[in-house]
Amino acid sequence: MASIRMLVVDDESEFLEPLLQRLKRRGVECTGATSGEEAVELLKKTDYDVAVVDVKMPGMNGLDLLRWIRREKPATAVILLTGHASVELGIQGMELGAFEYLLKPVDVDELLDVALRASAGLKLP
Amino acid sequence: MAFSTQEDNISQSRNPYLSLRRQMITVLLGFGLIPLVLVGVLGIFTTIREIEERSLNVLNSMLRNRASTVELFLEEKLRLLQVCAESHSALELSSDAMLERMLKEMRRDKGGIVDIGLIDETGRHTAYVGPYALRDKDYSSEQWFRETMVKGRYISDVFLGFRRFPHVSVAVRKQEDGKNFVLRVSIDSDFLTSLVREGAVESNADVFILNKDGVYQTAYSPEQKLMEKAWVGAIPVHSGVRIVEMRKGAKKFYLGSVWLLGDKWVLVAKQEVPGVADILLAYPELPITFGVALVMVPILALYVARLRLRQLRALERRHAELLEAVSHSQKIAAIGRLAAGIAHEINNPLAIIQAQVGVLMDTLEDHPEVPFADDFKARIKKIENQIARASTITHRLLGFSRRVGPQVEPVDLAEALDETLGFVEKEIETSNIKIEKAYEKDLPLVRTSLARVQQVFLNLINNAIDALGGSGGVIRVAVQKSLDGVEVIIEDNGKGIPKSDLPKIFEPFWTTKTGNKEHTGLGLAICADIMRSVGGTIRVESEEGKGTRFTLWFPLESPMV
Amino acid sequence: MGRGGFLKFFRKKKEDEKSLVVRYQFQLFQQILTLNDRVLSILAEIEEKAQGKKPVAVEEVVKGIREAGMDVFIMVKNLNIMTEGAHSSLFSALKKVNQEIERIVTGASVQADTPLVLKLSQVRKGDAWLVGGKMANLGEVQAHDLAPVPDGFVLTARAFNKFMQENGLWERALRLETVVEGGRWEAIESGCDEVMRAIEHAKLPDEIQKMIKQEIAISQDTGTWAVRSSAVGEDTMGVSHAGLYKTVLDVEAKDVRRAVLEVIKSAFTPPAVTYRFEHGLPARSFAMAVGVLRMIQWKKIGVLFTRVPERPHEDAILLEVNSKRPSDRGEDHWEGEVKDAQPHFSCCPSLGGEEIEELISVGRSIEKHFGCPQDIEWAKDEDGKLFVLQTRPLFVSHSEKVSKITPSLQGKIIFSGGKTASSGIGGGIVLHLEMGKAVSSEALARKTNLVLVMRFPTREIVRFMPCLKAIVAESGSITGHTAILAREAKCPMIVSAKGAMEVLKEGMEVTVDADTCCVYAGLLSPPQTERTASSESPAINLVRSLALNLVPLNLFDSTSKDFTPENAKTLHDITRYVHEKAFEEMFYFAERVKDVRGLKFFRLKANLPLEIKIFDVGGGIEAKESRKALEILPEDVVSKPLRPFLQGMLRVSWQDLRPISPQGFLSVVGQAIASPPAEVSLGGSSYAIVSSEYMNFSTKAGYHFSTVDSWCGQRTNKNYVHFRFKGGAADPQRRARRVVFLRTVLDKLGFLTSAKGDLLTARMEKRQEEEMLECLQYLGRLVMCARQLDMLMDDNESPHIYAEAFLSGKMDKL
Repeated sequence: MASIRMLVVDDESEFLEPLLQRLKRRGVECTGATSGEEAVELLKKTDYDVAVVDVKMPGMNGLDLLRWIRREKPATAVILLTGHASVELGIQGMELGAFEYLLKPVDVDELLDVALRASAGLKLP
Repeated sequence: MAFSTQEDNISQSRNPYLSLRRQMITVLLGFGLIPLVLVGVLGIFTTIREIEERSLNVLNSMLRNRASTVELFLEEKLRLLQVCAESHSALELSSDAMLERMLKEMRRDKGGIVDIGLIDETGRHTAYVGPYALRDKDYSSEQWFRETMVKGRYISDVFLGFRRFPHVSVAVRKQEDGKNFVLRVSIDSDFLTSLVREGAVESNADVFILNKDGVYQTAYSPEQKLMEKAWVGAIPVHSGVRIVEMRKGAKKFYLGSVWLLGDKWVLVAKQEVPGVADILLAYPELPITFGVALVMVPILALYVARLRLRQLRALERRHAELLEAVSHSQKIAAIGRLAAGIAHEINNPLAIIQAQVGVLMDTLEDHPEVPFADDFKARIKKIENQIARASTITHRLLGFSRRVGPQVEPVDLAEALDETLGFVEKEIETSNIKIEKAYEKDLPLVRTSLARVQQVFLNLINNAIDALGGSGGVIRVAVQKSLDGVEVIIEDNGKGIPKSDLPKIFEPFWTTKTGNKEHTGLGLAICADIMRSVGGTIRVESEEGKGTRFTLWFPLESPMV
Repeated sequence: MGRGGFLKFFRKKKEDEKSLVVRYQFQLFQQILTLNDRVLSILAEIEEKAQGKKPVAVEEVVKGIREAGMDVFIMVKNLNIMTEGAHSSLFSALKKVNQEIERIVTGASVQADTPLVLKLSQVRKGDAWLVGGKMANLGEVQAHDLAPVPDGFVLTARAFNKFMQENGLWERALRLETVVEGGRWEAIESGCDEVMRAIEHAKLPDEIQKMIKQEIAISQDTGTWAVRSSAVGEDTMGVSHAGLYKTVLDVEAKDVRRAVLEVIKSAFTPPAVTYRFEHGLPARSFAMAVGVLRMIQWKKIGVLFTRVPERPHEDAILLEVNSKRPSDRGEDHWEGEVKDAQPHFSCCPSLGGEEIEELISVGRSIEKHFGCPQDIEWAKDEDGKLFVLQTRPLFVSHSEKVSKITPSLQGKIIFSGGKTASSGIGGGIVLHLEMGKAVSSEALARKTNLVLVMRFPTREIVRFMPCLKAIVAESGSITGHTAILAREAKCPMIVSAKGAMEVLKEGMEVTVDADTCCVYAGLLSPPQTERTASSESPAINLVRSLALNLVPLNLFDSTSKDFTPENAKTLHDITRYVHEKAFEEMFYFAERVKDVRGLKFFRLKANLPLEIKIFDVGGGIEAKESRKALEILPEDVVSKPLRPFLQGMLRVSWQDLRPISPQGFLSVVGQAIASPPAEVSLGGSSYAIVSSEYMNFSTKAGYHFSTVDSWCGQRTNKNYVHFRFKGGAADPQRRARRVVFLRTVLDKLGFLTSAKGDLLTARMEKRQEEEMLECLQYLGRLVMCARQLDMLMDDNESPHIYAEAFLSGKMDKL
């Protein structure tokens, strides 16, 4: 029953909490963090397959976190999630190595699809 | 660049055209008619003047001509008589044969000389050749006789004499051996008249001879009575040809005169001066052309004015349309921008709602035994649909389309309408509004965007609810086939829309709900925009106090990506 | 759900995980196709707007461009996800283009390092974007010694920006702009009121205040100052902003700051705001630079027009003079024309002859320097020194060009139809372009009067466009690449002109009117059509400069080695690149998918010598309930492209297909282990990935290897068929002949073919659905027939004979 291990980072707990619950129900091993700094701490301790990261966060924002992950934990795929869409942010995110760039609100099953695809092992031969 | 109210615009838009039209016509008429009239009048006057001059010249030359003819004739006869008298003795002259020979000579080819006679001092004919019985007449007391005796030669005025017919005597005195004789011929006055008239036939002048007292010496036309005073009166002696204008009643005419034989007789020619009317009749081309031009100019002016005005109006209308289109699209874009600014903010709360509601759904699915579970799940599904709808809108505003599935799908418009009505069930119930449905059977499915279509429906239904106030009423919805598409009608019997507002209601930012700060006036504008984007149309009919009906038409296939 | 349900759920998840990969890849690809279509439409629209024939709403264009930018981003992102980041350098190309677009849209980016305050002596004409037209012109006059100007300094656009930002005025200004768009006068008035009051209560940033103080101190001037507006965009040709903004005179040093605020305030009066709106100048790119100049104590002041506006060719000037009488009671005022050549002494009472000469010479040198007639404000101080206070371009009358709709030509129309892809009229000699015929550039280069008539437009002809007078294509679309290029090259072009090749025979002299889509016999001289005068409008210029970054195509040869992300300079380039690479990636889709373990494939039961396994990503198969698990029949296939392809394959009753010639057979025998013809080893399975509008079909059977990748739906722009065929059993000669056969057939069908050895590639793109479906059927038949054909290719004539036979339908039963 291999599942994926996911880290969800969003400063709005009202969004984070129900999302985690829904993911758990779908068999995903997931943890939440409400700030970039908290996420870094968690990442240092555990390995995750996928990190779903909100872009606009106070303090260490999503892009900074992405940079850290690409540097320290390159095996973790990062999906950027945001309520604001702009081409510059998008390019920046993709250039920094994000796997995907999604706009909120996003369907949880869709998110899961993307996460599954993002995590290593699921590729076309 | 003035910003005026609607009323200003309407009244202003009429007036400039009216006054412009007046101006144009005035100018055109002026520019057309004034020169025309000037030229026409000028032409007529010039013609008249020319004609007058010509007649004067003709009169002049004719008079001279006639005068010399008559003078020559008379002088010739006098001379001839003189020669005869001197070259023959009285005795010779007393012979009839001699006189006859002389008569013949005098007559030559012209005729006009009636008789010839020799009269002695006592006034008695010593000889006479002619048709009249004058042999024994006594002329001693006759004026001409006495004059001749005194002057030696004499031409008389026309008189009847013993002959009892008008004639002119030409006489000379012969002196022989202390005795005086008079040799005399008589000229028929008719001959004189004809002499005067011949040559004057071409001109229609009346030519005659008057004596010093203005008595007719010749008579041709009925008004000329021989030996009577002419109405023109006596003419003062003058040299050369004199032409004066005279008026008799309404007629104007030229009176030309030239004195013959010094101051004995005056040759008179009377010519009527043609009036303007006569000239015009004589030269009809002039008035006809003028009249035609006079009629054509106003017609042309009117036509050109109308044409130009029509073009101008069309141009202005086109210009206004273009400006409107630009302003309209700018407004639409403004909506887009306004909304995009908001969309950013909305996505986060939407995400939260979605997540929370999702948990509810999950929980219910895990516990199907809970009462109302199915009902709740159904309702939650509806909420999720609406969240999806809202996020599609915000995503679209931000130009971001994650949704990979077809945005266009086969839609049952009646079902979509029912669903929309379901959204506002509660409101309808509490407002006591009755819904009447008229859905045709076997409606074709329309390939379009369900979300957008429902947006339009919702907007119109909400407007209908607002129009009915809170006091109940009827909302009638119908779906039917139409052309190659489907028609949806949403109507209410509420307060209706004033006629003056009807053309404006689809304009962005236009609203009557001015008190309500949240009302943006964008609803119908968005509806119109959506209908346009799905390739359909929206139409409104309304009567104040009676109600409003919106008619939407959807093509079977939406031209969207 | 409970425990059991949980497990079931998870097992399902596992299966789904596998198909997820396939589905995901497909979805990414599908999105690329959809977005490509949309972006090309937007580009075509922008290009049309850039023509300037109609007024343009800048906001709408900007919105479209932003949408296009986002779409292209998603395309690039998807491509990189599909290819595991193989084209990540494309992101930086996109970033560059995006930055350029944003720069144009929001005006010159006022970077952090631009100065807040500049001395007038540092200002040149090219700085107008920073210091406004007025100050730029003045600085230029000073720098080139054209005339003395009052000294001073300028608060730049950046200073303005800073001021607006620090006082929270930008939001107000942008809100005001939307109110102006609403068009209601009272609302505009009250909106402007609000903004102006806010400015009154605002404060100049400390930094700026300090710099003002500094500059005043440096000048060591105890006199007063003149504070003048210098809006960016003011005093440029066509958009003078004349008289809109304020100038404050005789300002004491201590009041300069207040005066600056006054001037800025004047930028938000109703007339100013509506003026800018009407001229398409967006609020966010507006900047009011402010010039602070030493106040000249003038004795005489006036205006000089270096030309008389109604008669710009004459050697005359217009002069206006105001002078103060010594007693200072009232002013003397004189206005009039002065001819250059005249003795000047008497005409103007308040100026001496020398003074006038000086004015004229100054005016003329300024005019010469700027290259156009000028409107100059001048003053003479108490010492009689002449100063130029301001100079700007003078609008002189010139013949207005009137836009005319192309009047119809007089002539015999021999063909009409199709759609206008690029407007204009062109006449020349018809040249047909058949695919496969090598178009020699020398032949074309010699001629300069060709009208190209072809079956479908290809990008290859771009190189020849300068030589072409017009192009008529029987298919293609207005938003296609070639159409975009034709418009750029201003070459008239008609697309979708069915039957054109029949009517317009080679060598005919014709005239093509692309606007009315008519072709006339003979060469007709077109009436002069003139462009509209609106090319002056700043809105159109904005759209034009945007279009330059979006529309031109640099990467048009996908086979060239220059087809790289580095050479992608416009949005069009990027979409082209993504499109091509996506095709490449997807071409072997089925091949790759078949190796994914655990995927459920449908098995097709049909009268075919192949085993076909199909994977449905969505909407491609509708299996009836009664079918056995995962078994389907041809009628269950609803995938739009696969259906006709299968039908084509099924039409060929392969049992009847026998080799005619023993030699051919022997040849095969010679190359491989022989078996009776009817059982020629076909082996292997064919795999197909389908969706409702997509198919990727790959067969590797025996010695042949063919792949068909196709999208076929309603959107013409998305449709395509890509086909590859390789291999064969017989000797190289026969294989080569087979290639000839295939090419002949495919060319006739309308494919663009190329061959390398025995590998044949064929492409067909952007056709209407019906056409595509028909071609797919042919392709199906072809793929079936081709298997056997090696053995039939006995001589060099065979390819052509069989090609004929195939196309006339005789091949199915030999």
